[in-house]
Amino acid sequence: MTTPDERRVVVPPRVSIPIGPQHPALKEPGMFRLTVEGERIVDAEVNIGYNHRGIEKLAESKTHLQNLYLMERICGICSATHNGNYAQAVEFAAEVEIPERAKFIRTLTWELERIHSHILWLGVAFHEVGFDTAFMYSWRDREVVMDMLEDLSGNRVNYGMNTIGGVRRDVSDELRLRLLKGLDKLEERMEYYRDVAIYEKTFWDRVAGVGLLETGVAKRTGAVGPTARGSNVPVDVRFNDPTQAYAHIRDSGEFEMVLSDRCDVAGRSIVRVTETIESVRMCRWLLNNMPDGPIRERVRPRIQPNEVLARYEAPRGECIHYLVTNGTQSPERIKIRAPTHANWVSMAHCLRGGYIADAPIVLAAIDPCFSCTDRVVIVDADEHTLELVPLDVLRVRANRWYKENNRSSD
Amino acid sequence: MVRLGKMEGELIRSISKRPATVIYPFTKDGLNIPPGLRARWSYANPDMCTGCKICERVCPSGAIEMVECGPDDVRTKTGFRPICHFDRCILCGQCVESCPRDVLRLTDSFEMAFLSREDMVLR
Amino acid sequence: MQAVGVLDLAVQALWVLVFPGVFFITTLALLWEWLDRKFYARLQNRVGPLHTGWHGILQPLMDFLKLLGKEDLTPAKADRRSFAAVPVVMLVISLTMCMFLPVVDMDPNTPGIQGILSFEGDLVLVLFLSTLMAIAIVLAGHFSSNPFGETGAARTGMLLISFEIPLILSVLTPALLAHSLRISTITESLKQLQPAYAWLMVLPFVVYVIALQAELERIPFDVSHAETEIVHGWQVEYSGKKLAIIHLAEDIMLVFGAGMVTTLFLGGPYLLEYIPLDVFSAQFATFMATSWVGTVYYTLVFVLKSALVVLLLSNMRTLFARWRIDQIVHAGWKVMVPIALFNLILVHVALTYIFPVLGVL
Ligand code: SF4
Ligand code: SF4
Repeated sequence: MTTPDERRVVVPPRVSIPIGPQHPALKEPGMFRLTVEGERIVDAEVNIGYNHRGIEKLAESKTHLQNLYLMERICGICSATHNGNYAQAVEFAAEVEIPERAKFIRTLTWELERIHSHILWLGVAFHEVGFDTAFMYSWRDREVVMDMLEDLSGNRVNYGMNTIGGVRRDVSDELRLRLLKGLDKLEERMEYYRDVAIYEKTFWDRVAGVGLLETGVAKRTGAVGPTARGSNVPVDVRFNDPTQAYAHIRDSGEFEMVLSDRCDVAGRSIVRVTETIESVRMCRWLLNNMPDGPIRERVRPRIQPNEVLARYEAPRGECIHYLVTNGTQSPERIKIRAPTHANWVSMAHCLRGGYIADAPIVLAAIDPCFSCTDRVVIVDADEHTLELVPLDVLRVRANRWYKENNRSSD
Repeated sequence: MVRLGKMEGELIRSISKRPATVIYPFTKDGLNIPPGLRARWSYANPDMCTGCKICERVCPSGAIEMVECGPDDVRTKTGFRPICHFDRCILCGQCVESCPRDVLRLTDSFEMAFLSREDMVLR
Repeated sequence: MQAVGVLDLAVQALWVLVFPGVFFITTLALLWEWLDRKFYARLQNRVGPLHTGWHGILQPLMDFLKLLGKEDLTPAKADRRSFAAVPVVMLVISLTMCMFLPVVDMDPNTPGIQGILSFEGDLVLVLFLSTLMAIAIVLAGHFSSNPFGETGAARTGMLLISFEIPLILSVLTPALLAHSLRISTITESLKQLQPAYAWLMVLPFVVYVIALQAELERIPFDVSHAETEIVHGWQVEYSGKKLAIIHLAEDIMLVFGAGMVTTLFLGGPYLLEYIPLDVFSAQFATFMATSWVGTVYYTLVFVLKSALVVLLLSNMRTLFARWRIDQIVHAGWKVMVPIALFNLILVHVALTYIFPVLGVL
């Protein structure tokens, strides 16, 4: 057994380029230290935790009803994901069945959110490779779905559609017609992106063969969502373990899981764009087949002691809410595993061996969402240790570090 | 299938199209404000309020405070009425939904800029 | 004698400083930036600059003035003097290059339209200066001693190596056709050539415009800026006045680039002369060269043609994504250089063998 000191390898002077914590390629703070030789990346180190907010702890001191809105604010883009998945978790724990119409509306919100999230991703991907025109177009078209969501829920970002035991707003007939009209427009535009925009040669050159994630590696590193499906790994909770109206959607037989065997960023793009069209069709199906009936069920505020795991296929991949209830109004413990967290490992693999120029698009390709993910866990890959650090220890360490590395000299 | 300049047609068509930009503070056309927008909080129906404090209890962000009714307020049964510290309000609408007497509203006036924190206390 | 000398000097100074010199070129630079931004925005279904002046026409000027007033920072590690020198050098080089553009006739005694500076072989000097510009950029990145800046500088260097060669090769075609290396003579004699020669100009025109896009570091060749990868590359440490000057220098480069395309490939400030009528003969040229009508006419034609080129360049900028540096180098060496060389051979063959047989000369 060698000590860590002896194991250290001497590396030739290489430039290390930081991407983040503040960087135009990133929408949120996260830090990627790329070691480069010329333009090639020889090593990538992922360093997150700049956005830790203590939501899980805070949730323990609030009621389930209040937590819905707290969960919604974990992430601005998948607000319906966390909100709906938490509601679902509480309903599982309370062992109540919500009305069919509520299921349909909840699923509709989820699918609309997927459309908006995927178009957002598409715009970001275009922007990362400097294709600003397509970026402008796709975000313009995203406004259509944003307006639809606003129309449906009353807010553009934090929809707050779900409540424990159902949904809060109904879909009226006029609204249904407006939504159907919007969906037609979206479908037309998305088909344009699928058939034309992503095949523009300069864009295609930037994504084809970039950030390779072989099927085996994707499976081994536990990739989820479009990242995995772009590598031909059939994981999609909507089809593998459907909840809410997804069971009906799957049983209708009209929809299929979107897969691509390209294994590169292009594959992930194709998966996302195609999936958006699939989502548009799902929304239309949901609107056309929506059963009548009530939209919510009364659930008593105190939830009996229970332990549940709620899964949902968020736009970025599988999102898990693990909930322990204890008979009071508040959760005993809530643990959230956001999809981005599952994708970090595979991403470091994708980065290695590529060009710096590819780093932003490879980073963007998993559609990272830092605020969903950040936890105070320090993973030391060299020594294969994993430690959970409480705040006071962190503070002591920080003080020591600053004493040793005096900054005021320069 | 992959070739250079695939989007040229769309570009040319865009020149003659109306720009998608909404020149917002000058015009509100094209903002598509839906009827059910959740914006500015209001104590819309004070006559109905019983002062039951349910709204205060459900509010996830602690924005609602119950204060004693002033001289020009409608007197509620308990002598308390809600006010909203709008700087904390997250516009979730839970208070509106939980109020048993349909007193509160989230109106659709969405221009919510205030000069000071005092101005943000909505009565 | 003395008085004439002083007057002469004053007129010269007016030319250099006001028209068609520094002031005119700077105005044009800001105008082209506006045109570029506006057209770019319209192609993207946006509105672009809107509020400053007529349809935002003064926006570039406002941006420039605003940047002048911003705090000017120099990184602690940077070499102060060289760091500060680079923007000035860039501005001076770009302005000097624009002095060679034949906008109006500066010397009525010589046939053809001369720029403020004009002599035999000035084409070579201009090409040299444009290379110097790229070197200034490399230095800018290097002096800022920032990893992003240095990466940007390295990329600029690669871009330069790949695209300078097709650029120079494509410029040779008009020079060969005109048997001259003087810009004004090239424009003048191209006017007198037969329409058949226009076909020989198509390929070098395309090559030149693409290489120019690379030279100006615009999409798809904007790797050295690459906002999302290396945060504006070599410009990353520049702020305030220095950044304002750098932006101005870049805009002036756009004026120069568009002006060069106009001059070498689109017939310079001549337009009516291409109509084969007696009215537009030698006398017409003399009249234009000596009266104020000529000044207005030549300027207008020049500005109009350059505007077209700017629109073309903006369209290119809108249409593409950013290529990776290896793909650019690949495109430069494996596509552009062979095309440029092939074109040169084509021109030679056409001039010595084909055209004499066909009787065009
Ligand atoms: S507003 Fe409604 S919930 Fe709040 S105190 Fe009045 S009646 Fe009760
Ligand atoms: S809208 Fe939500 S946050 Fe605002 S006062 Fe009502 S309950 Fe509180």
